[in-house]
Amino acid sequence: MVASLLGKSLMVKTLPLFIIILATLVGCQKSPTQNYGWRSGEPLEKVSFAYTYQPQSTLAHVAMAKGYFAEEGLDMQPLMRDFGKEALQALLESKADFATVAETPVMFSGLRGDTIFVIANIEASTTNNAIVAKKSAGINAPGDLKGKRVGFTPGTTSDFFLDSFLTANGLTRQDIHPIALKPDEMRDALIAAKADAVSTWNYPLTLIAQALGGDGVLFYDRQIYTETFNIAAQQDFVRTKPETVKRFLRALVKAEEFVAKNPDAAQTIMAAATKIDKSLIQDVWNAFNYRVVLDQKLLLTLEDEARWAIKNRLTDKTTMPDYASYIHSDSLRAVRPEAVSTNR
Amino acid sequence: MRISTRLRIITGVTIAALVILIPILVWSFVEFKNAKDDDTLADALHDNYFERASYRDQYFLYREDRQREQWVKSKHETDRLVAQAKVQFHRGHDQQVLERFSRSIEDTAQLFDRIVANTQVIKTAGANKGVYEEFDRRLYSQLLLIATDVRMAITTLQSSTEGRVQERYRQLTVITALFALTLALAVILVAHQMDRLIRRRLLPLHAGVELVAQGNLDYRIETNGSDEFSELSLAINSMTGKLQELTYNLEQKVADRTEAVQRSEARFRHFFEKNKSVMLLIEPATGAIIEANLAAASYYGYAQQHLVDMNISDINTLSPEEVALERQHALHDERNYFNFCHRLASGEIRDVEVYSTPVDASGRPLLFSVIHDVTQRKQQEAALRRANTHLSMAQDAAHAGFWDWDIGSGKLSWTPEFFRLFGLDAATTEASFDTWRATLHPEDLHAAEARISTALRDHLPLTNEYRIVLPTGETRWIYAVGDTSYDEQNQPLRMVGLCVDFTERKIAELELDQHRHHLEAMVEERTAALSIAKEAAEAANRAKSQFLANMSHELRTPMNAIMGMTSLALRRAADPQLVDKLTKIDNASHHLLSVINDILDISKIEAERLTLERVSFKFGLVLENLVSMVGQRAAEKGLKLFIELPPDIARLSLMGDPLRLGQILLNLTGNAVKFTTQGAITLRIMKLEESSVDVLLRCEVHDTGIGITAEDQKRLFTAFEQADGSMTRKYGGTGLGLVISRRLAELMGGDIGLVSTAGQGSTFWLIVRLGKANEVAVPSALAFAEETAELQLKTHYAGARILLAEDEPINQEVSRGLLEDVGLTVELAEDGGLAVAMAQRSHFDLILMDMQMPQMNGVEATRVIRALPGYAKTPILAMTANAFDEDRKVCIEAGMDDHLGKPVVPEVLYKTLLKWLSTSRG
Repeated sequence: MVASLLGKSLMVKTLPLFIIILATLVGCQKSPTQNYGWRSGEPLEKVSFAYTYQPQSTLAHVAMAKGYFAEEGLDMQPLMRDFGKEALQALLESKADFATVAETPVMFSGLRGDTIFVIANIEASTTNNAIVAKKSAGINAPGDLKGKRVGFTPGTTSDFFLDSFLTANGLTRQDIHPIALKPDEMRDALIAAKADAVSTWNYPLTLIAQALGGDGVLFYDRQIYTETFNIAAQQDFVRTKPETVKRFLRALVKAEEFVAKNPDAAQTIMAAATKIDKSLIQDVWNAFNYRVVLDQKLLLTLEDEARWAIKNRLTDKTTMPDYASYIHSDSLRAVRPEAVSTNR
Repeated sequence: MRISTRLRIITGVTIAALVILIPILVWSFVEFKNAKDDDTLADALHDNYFERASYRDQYFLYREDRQREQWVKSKHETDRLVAQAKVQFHRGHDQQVLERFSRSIEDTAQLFDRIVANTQVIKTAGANKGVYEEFDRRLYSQLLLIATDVRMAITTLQSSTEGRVQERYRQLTVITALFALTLALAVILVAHQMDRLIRRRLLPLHAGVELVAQGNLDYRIETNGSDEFSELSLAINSMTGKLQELTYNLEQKVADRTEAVQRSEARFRHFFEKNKSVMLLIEPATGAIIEANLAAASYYGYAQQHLVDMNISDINTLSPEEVALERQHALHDERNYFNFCHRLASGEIRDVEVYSTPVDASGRPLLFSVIHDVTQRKQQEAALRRANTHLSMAQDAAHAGFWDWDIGSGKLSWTPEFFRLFGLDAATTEASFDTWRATLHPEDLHAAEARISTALRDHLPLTNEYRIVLPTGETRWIYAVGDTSYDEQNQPLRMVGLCVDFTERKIAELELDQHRHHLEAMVEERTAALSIAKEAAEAANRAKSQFLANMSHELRTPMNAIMGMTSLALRRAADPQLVDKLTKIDNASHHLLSVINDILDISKIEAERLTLERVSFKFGLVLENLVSMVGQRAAEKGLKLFIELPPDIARLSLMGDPLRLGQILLNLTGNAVKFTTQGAITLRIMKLEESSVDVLLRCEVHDTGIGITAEDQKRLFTAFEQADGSMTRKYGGTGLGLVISRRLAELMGGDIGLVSTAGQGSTFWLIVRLGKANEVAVPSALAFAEETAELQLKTHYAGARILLAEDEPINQEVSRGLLEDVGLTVELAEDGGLAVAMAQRSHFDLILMDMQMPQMNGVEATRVIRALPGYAKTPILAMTANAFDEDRKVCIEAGMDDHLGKPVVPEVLYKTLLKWLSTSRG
């Protein structure tokens, strides 16, 4: 048909030209994004990961449960800890290759001169920390904390948030009776009237508030503190095993995408992994922002807290360390360039 | 393949490609523009961010209002841009980033506000200034933290929009190129086709056609292939062949046409000759008959050959000149239809209708005439005219006006008599509806028209009656009838009818009516007058009864004093003569009281104030009470008293008013005792009917007394009449007892009557219908049998404190005397207010309460006392001259326990006191 329409000679001249033009045009279209994955057949690399039962560790739990680490060629050994400071301790003691930890323990670690890197921030929240107090102890407003016994976990976000909260309400540490408590001791201390209020995070925060019932009162201030949860690793490990770090981060990025698309399934995974009631997980879910990034925020917060620690003599150091040198962004930039917005 | 098909395919494919490409091109342009707009907006947000950051840092440095105000203004601009972006950005990812951006912006705004507020605090802070300064730093640190969020969100947004712009641009380029390429390809293909066509096909065809045009009809153009040029060559070859053929056929056709004309002429002749209508062809100038058909010969009775030698004037009875004139009319088509008389060969003259038409016979003008014999029809028409004349004469004789209404055209026709009846001049007036309406009496016009409409609508014969006003001013009554004919669709066609003047008869009828109405009015007037009189009489009667009822109180009050005092005196008197006198006073006052009671009863009945109670009871108790009241009297007169109560009635629980039933029976039995000197009195109860809900009882009181004559029986149950006036004098009584009994029986749905013969005793009967009750709460029998109430009071209740509320001094004395006689302690309150005060001060065992007292009445006082502490259950008894049932009801509702009517009967007072004191103590 085409031949009869064009005449043979014309077809011979024009058709190849037409095909070339079409091919050129089609070639202009964008090629699909390349997808990385572990090539089957090679043995899995054994690594260990200390993370917590806290909601901030959701990406770690999801990556584990969905087998994303295995997909990236990692034979992941989980080490469960109650909170980030303990997870970091496991890292420092070389029991773990990676750890989830909030910025406050990282800040103290920097003051101590530990050789760690933060390779990614996996969560940020302005409403995860709060003061929970007992009305029966005469506390109905933030100002009532004056002269009261207030529990906190030293060297953690609990410590820093308490100070920030007091400052925001015109108080100082000298105006209260601070009591050092671990998160799992706080509830009993309040019930046994050994403390009048505590500064803590989820899930203990919500569980304590529920236990106090009508006697409990919660004080939030989302404008004075931004908590970050991060992935830390030994500097040596990062330098010697850059591919392992990238695979690890790629698994977390996959977990982030899964959580964004399937929040309900992610909550179910958390409930199973932490043995915490799913309804509680859902209650606090919106307080957290799960994204694998590295931005200026972390650096600012670390410095801010370091100034506080030095001023309040919580450390022997009197000068601020170069926290920028504690942040390693090359690996994440290689895995996900748009997630990095710090210039180191 | 055909050339048109090839061109169609090329065009079709090109159009299809363009149809697909053009919308894609347009869409691509729109997308590109949208992406560009989004990018511009993202840039604006970016610029705005840096502007705001600049103001923020300036404020941080100087803490002045100017920087703060500019920051706030810049924030407003941010809000505007964000709002615009929320509408403009459609991608899910962009929306999420925007949402994050918007949240962070709000956070920075709130932080900035807090910094501003804290700055004010620092300016005025004292000792703890350091804390606020620390807080300031903390807030600033957070502000910077969130600013990084804002910046990141903006950067993300910008890179997203930039990416989109590039992507859209690439897309647009590709589609535009495709579009241009498609058009170019189509042009090349079409040009190529055209070239081939001209060179290979059109030139040989042109040479062949030129040869044929030069006359070479034997030449045939060469054909090859199957396209339109081959078809055209074939068509030209075929046309050349056809031209040869046509020339040959032409002469043959001329011969055929000539033969056809001859056949047609023969057909026409046959049609004329054999036609059954009479037909002639006439020479118009002379009247000579040129042709005549067989029917004409037969009709006129001449041979056909003979007829064609004749002139039409030989047949037409008109003069030859007149006939000639008519022929000219026909020839010039002025007239074609004529009525003539034609003479037959036999000499007979026939009426004919002639249709005459000019025809052209090969250039010669002739008249073609068709003749119809109408003699018979003419005769019928004459007969009809005669019949109409007769009808008209008949109408004239009956003075009936005839009318005929053609409904379709609305045309009316009236006979002369009609005009005469309506006083109209037939010569100057036109028969029309308007004329008819104008003559009608205005009051009757509407109804008369309505009756016509109804007759038409409902297919009914018309009957109408109305007045008309003659030109002389005289009013006449017209009676009209009519009948309507309808077409197949039931639409009215025509209505015809008659009118007659019936004024004289109508006037006679109207006069008769007037007399009848007058009579009815008189009857109504009289009835109304009677009704008013009756109501006035009834009102007066009720007023009288009302007055009597009001008198009750006024009569009972002194009666209480009289009877009470007598009773007290009797209790204290020892002298037999004094006792005798006092006993007489006592009897007389009891009699007076019964008269008063009767009068008050009847007055209540008359005033329609008597209502019956409806409580459950047993018949036996009614009879027991009866015996206790008349048994003594009967025994004193030596009479026997028999009671016959069948056990099945005694067992029945009944529903009704036992007091009033007892009253009737007491009256009948009391009368029997009164009017019987020896023998026996029998009270017999019988059951007449029984259903599940009620029972009909007959009670008979039979005596062996003086009897009553038939004449007296009629008056017995009439108010204020006794059988004999002398009876009152001899036997006492008001004669009201039976009247009251009858009214009560009627109220109970029963009746009362008697059977009696003078000198042989009487039987009074009562029929009463009583309801059935489920069960009866029989009052507990009080142990009065062995001891009288008086004695029991003295024995068991001496010293009990009684509060007596009574305002009337004599009644105070009577009551106090009766109470103190049985050992009760009495304290007196002169009105309700005092009674309340005394009850508040100390406690009483029982309170006797008059109803009507100054200051505060008994009812009000009872309500107050009941509310006092300790008086919730203390017996409060009404002791009052307000002795009617409704008075009793008022007392009970106010919280009193019982009601004692005045005058007080000592035995009743003591029984009641005993009952309530024992109840309250018990």
